[in-house]
Amino acid sequence: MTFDRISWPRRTDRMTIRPATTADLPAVFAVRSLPEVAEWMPDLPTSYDDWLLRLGRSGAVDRMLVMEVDGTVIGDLYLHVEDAWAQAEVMEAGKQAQAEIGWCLSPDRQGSGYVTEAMAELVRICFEDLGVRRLTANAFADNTPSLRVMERLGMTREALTRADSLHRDHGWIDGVTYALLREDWKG
Amino acid sequence: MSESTPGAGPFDRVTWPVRTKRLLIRPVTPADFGRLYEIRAIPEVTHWLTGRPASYQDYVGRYGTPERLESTLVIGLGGTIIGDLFLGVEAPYSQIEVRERAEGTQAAIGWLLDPAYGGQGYATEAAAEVLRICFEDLGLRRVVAGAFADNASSLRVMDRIGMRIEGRTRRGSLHRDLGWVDGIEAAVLAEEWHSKPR
Repeated sequence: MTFDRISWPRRTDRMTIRPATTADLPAVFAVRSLPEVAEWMPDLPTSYDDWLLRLGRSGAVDRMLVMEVDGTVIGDLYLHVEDAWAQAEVMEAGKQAQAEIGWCLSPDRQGSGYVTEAMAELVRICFEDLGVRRLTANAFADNTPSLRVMERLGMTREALTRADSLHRDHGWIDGVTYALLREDWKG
Repeated sequence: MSESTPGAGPFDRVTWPVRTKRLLIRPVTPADFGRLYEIRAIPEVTHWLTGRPASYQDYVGRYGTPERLESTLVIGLGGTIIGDLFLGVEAPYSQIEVRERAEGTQAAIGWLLDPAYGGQGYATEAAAEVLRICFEDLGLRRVVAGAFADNASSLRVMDRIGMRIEGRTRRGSLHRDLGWVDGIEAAVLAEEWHSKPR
């Protein structure tokens, strides 16, 4: 598993970053179940038990890290190492070559640069510890705060996909994909 | 849109064969494998394709699966198969609460022509018809296609059939001879397709 290949926790100036444990999940749920948070997230969980079940079934719990400040979980990070697109004959060389990253922060901690600080560390983990060569992040095109984080991390917009993403309230809206190559990373 | 039978694949909702000015399009059958392998055995054909089958058995192993049979069409010209088409219906991204509404609303398409029949607009004619099938017969709302950025002939077909380039993935695709190269993503929405004169 991806997280077993790294020694935890990782520390930044103000935060501790580590894989989520069962004990963290109530705090993560408390953030994720806020409607203003779920606006741009994959789901709006209403029942803790259903959410837990879905996390386990989808494997998302194995891709979840938490950001901790002074012992308090203030949000979660997403890291999924995956195979790059490759022609069949070179598929082996594309295995685990890229990663998708994401984040979710408690609204009462917003505006202090926590996400950028945590994600900068996660980008370092991907390139230096996991040997990933390319990172991607996806968002609804109207999720401006998220797009700003991607840009601060040095990611470049690679795609604007028109009316390709179905939102529970806004219907079919645009999506964006950002990416960063290891060779372009300013570390 | 024709009536759909529960459990039936998208191709069951279309009346086959479909005819264009010069071509005939229909779902692939195992009887086509010999001719289709013959085309894929030409190195220049597979230069930009996902796989280069090493033998006929290898071809059948990869392209004879139920999923492939349900998403592959052949292009006929006066009784000869001159290429094949991919039409895979899929679910675009959606938030979980509205996932059911998103399922089966989008398709990815692709095309492949025997180079002996190149330069006469056959790939464009066939790909344009696949778009029509997607929007008119299947009632889809969005169609996408991908290609290596240097696959100029494929990009030309995308452009001619009205697909827009939406993204360029930098060095995100691994090519067997060229290493890490750029990819292109193109798309067209039903409303765009319907608003264009044909």
